[in-house]
Amino acid sequence: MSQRKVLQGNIIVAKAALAAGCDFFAGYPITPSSEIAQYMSKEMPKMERAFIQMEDEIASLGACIGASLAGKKTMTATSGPGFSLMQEHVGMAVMAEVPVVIVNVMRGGPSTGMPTKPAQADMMQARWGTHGDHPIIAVYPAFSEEIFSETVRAFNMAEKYWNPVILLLDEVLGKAHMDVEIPEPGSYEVYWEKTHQIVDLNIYDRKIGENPPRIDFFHGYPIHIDGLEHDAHGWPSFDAKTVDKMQKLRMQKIYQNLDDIIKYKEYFLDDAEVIVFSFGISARSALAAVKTAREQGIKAGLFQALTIWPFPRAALQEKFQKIKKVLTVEMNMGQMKYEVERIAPGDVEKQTLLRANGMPFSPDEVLNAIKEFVK
Amino acid sequence: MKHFEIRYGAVGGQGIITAGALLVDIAVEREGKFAIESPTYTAAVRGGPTKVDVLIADEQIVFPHATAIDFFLCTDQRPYDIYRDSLKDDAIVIVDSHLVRELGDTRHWKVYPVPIINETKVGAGNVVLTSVVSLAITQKMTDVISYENMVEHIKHWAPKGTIEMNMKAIEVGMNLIK
Amino acid sequence: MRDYEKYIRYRTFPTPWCPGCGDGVILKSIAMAFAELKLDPDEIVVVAGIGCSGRMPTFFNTNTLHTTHGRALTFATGIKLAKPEKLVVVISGDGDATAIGGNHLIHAARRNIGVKMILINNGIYGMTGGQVSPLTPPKFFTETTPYGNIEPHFNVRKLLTAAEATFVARETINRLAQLKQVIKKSFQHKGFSVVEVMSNCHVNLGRRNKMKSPLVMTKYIRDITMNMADFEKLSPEEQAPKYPLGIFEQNSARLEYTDLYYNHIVPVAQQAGAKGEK
Repeated sequence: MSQRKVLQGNIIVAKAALAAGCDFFAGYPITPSSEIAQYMSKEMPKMERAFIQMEDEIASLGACIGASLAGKKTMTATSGPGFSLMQEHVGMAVMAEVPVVIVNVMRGGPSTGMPTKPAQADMMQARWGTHGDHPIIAVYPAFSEEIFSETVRAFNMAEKYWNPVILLLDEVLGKAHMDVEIPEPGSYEVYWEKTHQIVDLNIYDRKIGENPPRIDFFHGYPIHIDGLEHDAHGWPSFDAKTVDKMQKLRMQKIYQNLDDIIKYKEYFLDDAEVIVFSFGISARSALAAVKTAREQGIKAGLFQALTIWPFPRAALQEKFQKIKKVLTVEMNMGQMKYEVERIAPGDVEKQTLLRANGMPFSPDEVLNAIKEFVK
Repeated sequence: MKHFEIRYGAVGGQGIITAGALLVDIAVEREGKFAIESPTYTAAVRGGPTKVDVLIADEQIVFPHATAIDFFLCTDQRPYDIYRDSLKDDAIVIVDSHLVRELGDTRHWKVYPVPIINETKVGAGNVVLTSVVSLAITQKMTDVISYENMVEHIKHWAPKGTIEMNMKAIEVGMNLIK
Repeated sequence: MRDYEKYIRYRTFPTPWCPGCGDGVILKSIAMAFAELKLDPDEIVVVAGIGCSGRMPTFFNTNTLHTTHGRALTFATGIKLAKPEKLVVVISGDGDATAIGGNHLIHAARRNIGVKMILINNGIYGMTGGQVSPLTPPKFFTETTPYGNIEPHFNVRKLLTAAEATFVARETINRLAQLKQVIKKSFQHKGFSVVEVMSNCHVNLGRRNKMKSPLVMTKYIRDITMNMADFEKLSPEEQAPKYPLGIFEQNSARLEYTDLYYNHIVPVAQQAGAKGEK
């Protein structure tokens, strides 16, 4: 008997969340993410953990933030339209520095779009969906083992950096049943800041770049948490100097820890003449294409972003020192390509393969695009 | 076998998602292979054209949809019309002889029209067993999994009190194509 | 220092409320209810949404959470389900609770989750400058009903009764003793509770409707409200513009949601062999 099991992608997310210590889930049904909520509703009661189906997605993320402030590790799962509804609360979680994992199993859009069809539709919504300047972390697994490890990592980063972390997943992989090796507990890190004492109201008082302490209720000293801009005590404050500092505190806790947050995989890039930049399901098409290209003597390589936000800028720029062609492959009308264009030096030729009709790129389509590009 | 691609085409409710899931379970959990089943479906649980691609290989599968299909089993005209792309030359094609009438150009394939749905109803006693019948046909025509593993798995998987009817369904599937 | 002052966070004063605002009376009543129940401030969370009422939590020396517009109940639901033993209080205005947050209100009532809502009804969006709300009385002039309000207002009592709320009450800022008493009773109730408090916004509602002083406005509130016993003696026509006061629903028969949830999962957890840790 093999150690490998067959699991649906959505179920791998749910199992990984439970393994990472998720003890509160609030959600609202939406295709193609519903299996995550269904699995949680079945398994969490067995572990005496809390599951609730809320009245909408706004309520779901609200409940998660509330539970998080009451000391729980929380998650919600949705798809594009529900993710849109959640955006105000994404901002609330950022502002109040509350950890929560938000899974978005993406589907075609806009509006109700194509519920049963894949699209890498929310790359920019994940970054800029909520209003105002804010830091965000978004991860995007493509292979079955990555779905597990990135979900656990999403929880760890939410806990470490006291920020919402978004896990993007493709409809294709959420719904597919695939072989997967679930690692043994103990073989991966589960980050969880132990109980601590709060002795004063100055809960946001820290130096720029320092990781925030765990901020939650019921630690012996009542505190105030606010969605308004606030000072070190959490009181509403619109004082320009204070706001400046608080903005930097929130930004820098992410941007000074990029080494820990940014994760990517590279394939055949050492001697490559063209980088295929991709992620999620498109990275799987691209990997198959790159392998075939190599068999045919074409020097193509793949840069697969696992952390999509913050954008893996430094890593990609390093590749651009040697490799002067980049092909961005994504299942949308062009979203991450702008990030690539923004950071690629002028002497790097940029090409794209884009489509948002519900059909993932076949490896041959990517291969043809590579061939066309290197010609 | 290094890499084998199977596609099931049906209308929602005919059990191909189950057939695909069983096939992947057997390939991975009983035979240690790599496999993925990716469904393409519509909002309608029943009645909409549906396909399920099952890829089975000796190494990790990179792209999860079928691109060069070895075996295609289809139980309705609509999915037959829209999902019969990407078939290899010499692909084995099984169609329901009552429900798929317009076959088009089939010169490059080995086509077997058989009354799958009807025989399931008559022979196995319940149309819900189409999934197991389809699985048995797949086993017999492709050997992508072993007969023994299939029988063992179905015995293990079938709810109590339904093992006998599932065994009957396997028999129907094995005997449909001589 | 009086007993209730232990629950007031003086260091955050002054409040943003206009002179004469009823919110101060409500703040005090809630603090007095906390004091009479001798609650540990760290065992309490006060949650609010947006609006004048939204600023109230800051002034309680308890755990406090200022959230988004209309969604305070969703955060409160999360806190209560995470920590059922805590007292979770929601302060909400009429716009917050019955317009943008109307959906959460009826679902909290339906679930009977043990969250204590104080619904401050001043009939207007005050903080945004005086726009019509779902509880603005008919014909009233507001910034967005310059020719008078043509929409009927929600009857919160009937709305909540229809959603099977287990504790529904109405009081006014004019009756501090009764208000404190009703709030205290709602805190002692196991399930979801709503205390609607008729309050004054003489600045944004009164000023446009010939009631620009707090005294005139509180007198208006006194005139339109009456005890339930007196209200029931009126004909339907006479009842229409009046607001009865008192506790309308107080039903302990239905289990509180988190009690129900954690009891409901006991056999599931036992069967799964969980160690019994929550």
